[in-house]
Amino acid sequence: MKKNLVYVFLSIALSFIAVGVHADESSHGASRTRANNVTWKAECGSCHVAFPAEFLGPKSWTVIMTQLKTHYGVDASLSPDQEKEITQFLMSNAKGKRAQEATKNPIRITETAWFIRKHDEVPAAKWKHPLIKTASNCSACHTDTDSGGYREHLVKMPR
Amino acid sequence: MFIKTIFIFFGVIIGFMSQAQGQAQAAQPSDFVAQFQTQARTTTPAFTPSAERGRTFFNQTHGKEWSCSSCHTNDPKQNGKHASTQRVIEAMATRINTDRFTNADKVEKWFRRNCNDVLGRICTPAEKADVITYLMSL
Repeated sequence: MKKNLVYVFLSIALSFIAVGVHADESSHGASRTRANNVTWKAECGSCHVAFPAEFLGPKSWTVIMTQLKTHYGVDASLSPDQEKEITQFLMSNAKGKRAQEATKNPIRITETAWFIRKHDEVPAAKWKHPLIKTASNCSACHTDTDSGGYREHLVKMPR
Repeated sequence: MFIKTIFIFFGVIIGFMSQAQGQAQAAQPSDFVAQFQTQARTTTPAFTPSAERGRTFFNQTHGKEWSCSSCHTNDPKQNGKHASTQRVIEAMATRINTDRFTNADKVEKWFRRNCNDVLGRICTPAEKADVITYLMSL
């Protein structure tokens, strides 16, 4: 009888290992330079660039993640499981100098001090370019948003 | 020996069931039409999905700023663009983009979100059946 239970346990364990290997495959090829999470990338990245967790502080992410039903005028509600996973990912990676909160509106990356400083040489008219339109459209100029790089030498502003 | 085999068999089955749960359910667009049609018929027994009604619904505004076509364009064979973020949205026509309406979780998620944005309410099963029928007709 004991032996039978061992067989059952082993076969369940083997099936789970198979699942684990499968899940691991799908996370390869993602960003190596920044914190990454498959659910965050897929869900946040389906309507806009999946903004890096490091771009806002924990207070900002908490506000954003508790208001997904009215997310900048759009319903971005998630399943409870996904919401929990993404919130945990954002909270545990919101850090460093970039964690400083915006003074007025903590839910806008574009109003943080570091964002304004980094973009102070961009002429006001440039933001209205038909291929940019909104400052949250990172990938209009940053060609390496997929890898989470946002490196200065890889910026290519549309003319 | 026989009992041992049974134990192993169930162990493997349980393992595979847990695996299947984590994966997307593969479905066809017509499966969703059938499902929403069945739901619609509980209140309107004569309901039959209509591509033409779906087209009208898709292109109209419904008391708010956006229609479906604001992001998906009035030619769903083409790629669309998110009306506020500018993100490219791949074509909705099921013959052009064979990934559309093949995953129950995604169908639930996007009707839930987009109907709220466009109509300020959930869509009826009849509306959903009509829209998918329209997108399958292109």
